[in-house]
Amino acid sequence: MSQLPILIIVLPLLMVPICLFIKEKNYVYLLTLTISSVNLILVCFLFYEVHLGKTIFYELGGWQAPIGIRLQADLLSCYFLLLINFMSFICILSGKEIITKEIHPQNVYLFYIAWLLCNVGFSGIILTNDIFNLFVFLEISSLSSYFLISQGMHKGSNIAALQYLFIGSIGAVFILLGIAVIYAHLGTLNMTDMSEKFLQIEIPKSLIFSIGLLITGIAIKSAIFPLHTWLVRTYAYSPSVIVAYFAGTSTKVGIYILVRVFLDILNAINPLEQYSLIEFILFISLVGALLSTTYAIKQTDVKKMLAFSSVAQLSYIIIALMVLTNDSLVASLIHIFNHSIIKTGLFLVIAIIFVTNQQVKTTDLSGLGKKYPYMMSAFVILSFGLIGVPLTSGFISKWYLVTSILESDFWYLSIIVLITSFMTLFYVWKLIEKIYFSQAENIKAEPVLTHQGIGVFVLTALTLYLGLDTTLTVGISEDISYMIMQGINK
Amino acid sequence: MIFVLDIVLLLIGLFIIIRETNLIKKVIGLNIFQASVFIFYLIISKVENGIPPILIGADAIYSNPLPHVLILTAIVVGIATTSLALALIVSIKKKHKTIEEDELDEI
Repeated sequence: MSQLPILIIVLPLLMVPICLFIKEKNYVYLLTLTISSVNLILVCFLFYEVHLGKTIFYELGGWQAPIGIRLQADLLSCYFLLLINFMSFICILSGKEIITKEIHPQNVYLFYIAWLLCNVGFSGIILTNDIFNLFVFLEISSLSSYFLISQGMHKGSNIAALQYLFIGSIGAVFILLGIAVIYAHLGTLNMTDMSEKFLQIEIPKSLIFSIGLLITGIAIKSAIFPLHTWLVRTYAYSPSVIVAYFAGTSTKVGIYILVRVFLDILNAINPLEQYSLIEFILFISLVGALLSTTYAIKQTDVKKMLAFSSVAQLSYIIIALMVLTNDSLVASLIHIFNHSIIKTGLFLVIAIIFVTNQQVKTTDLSGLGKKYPYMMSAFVILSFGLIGVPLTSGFISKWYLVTSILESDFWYLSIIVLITSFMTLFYVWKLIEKIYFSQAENIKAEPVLTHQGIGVFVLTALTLYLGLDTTLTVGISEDISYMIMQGINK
Repeated sequence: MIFVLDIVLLLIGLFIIIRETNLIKKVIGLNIFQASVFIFYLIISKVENGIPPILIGADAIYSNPLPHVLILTAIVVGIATTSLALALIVSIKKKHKTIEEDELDEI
């Protein structure tokens, strides 16, 4: 069982050269699907192993921890690992036809290979216990995601990929510099070792510098409000399956790094409190939630609308993280999980219905309610989840968000969360009105194959299920938050 | 002093990325930006009166070799980024016949 963490990373990596030799796109697809389902099963095993609070370590090459590189699987990492691998599996499962239609036939096998590498990068970021290793895995996932984005049919996808490359590389270099400053102070790269050493020393001022660099880098990578512009552009121009995949994973991995670095390594944010950085970040996230919801209402492009909505939801997550009480941490973890499922589902519906459409305007949705009753009812349920209507998982996470913020020192922030949630209704209603109450003029949508719909229906069912039975999200999040808070109060 | 020079290099790189409209020049700026951080790692690894970390058979004070190793990895990542960026620029040039960003914005 102690081999599981390394298997999750190494198995897909081994598949990559094999796929490069095969080249035949159907076989490569089958291999990719197999390997991601195997990975999902392995992750489930790992989750089962650690769900009672056990931590599994794997020392690479047999070198002991502070000197060698160690992989660490605890409940926090398994929670995110499950999310990432599940999303990857669902998107590959229902994305085959879309990818064949959208991607240049010569590049299809490379596309799957880049997808595998991207997922390896995400899994590696989550599993590693070595902060420099985290940087390397971050770059593996970023480099393959630049390639994935550049394969879109839109004429601007190349440009979007290149702009994301510049912004993403700046973010990565900031993270690298932050790691350098921390290493210069503590002389270690191992995260567990770091967090112990932080307790012993008095925190020097230059560390604030490194924290600032890390925050900027992570904020760029996970598109936190003022640094979110790349997200909107890439969501609008990249292949539609990739948008569905990234909506549920890439930004969430950024949040994972934030939780890991600031709550687990730095043992809460004492240095942040000294310089009232918390208030600063809270203020920015508030502005972000308000502005991006307003932008989302203004958009006529459905993908851009959903992208702005993602930025708003990320702002909620950051607010809950920065309030930093036990309950708000739980709330943010629940919201990460639920929002991933909802947003991936929404983008997947768009991807399936508008296979070759480069741009999806809100008017393109008119009259689709009659043509695709099942698909569109799934879409409506998912967008209810986005607003937070009762009986969907969105309600659970909004409920936890608002109550936990109300009980903290920053209770007035909950008003903004409520107002912006209400504003969500406006743009969601704009879509629903078009779907059910507009006359169809010329429907550009393509026919839907049933097996493409599986992913959407699984995600919709999960949205409804997680709205009723919350043991998976709330139970696990409470355990994680207890674990992290114990470390902080040491 | 050397830290200040390094920060100046970093800012020059960042400035080029933000200011230039030519995509190739932006890539050059990105490389300068990355190189400044590599140099930062080398600065913090230096031990006073330390020799290069090479086995000479006798006891000696030597500089910390770990940052050098880390930077080797980071250089490889940097090369991958640069080559991917250049490949993207080639495909942009083929598609849109220009690599000036202000002309590309109109698309």
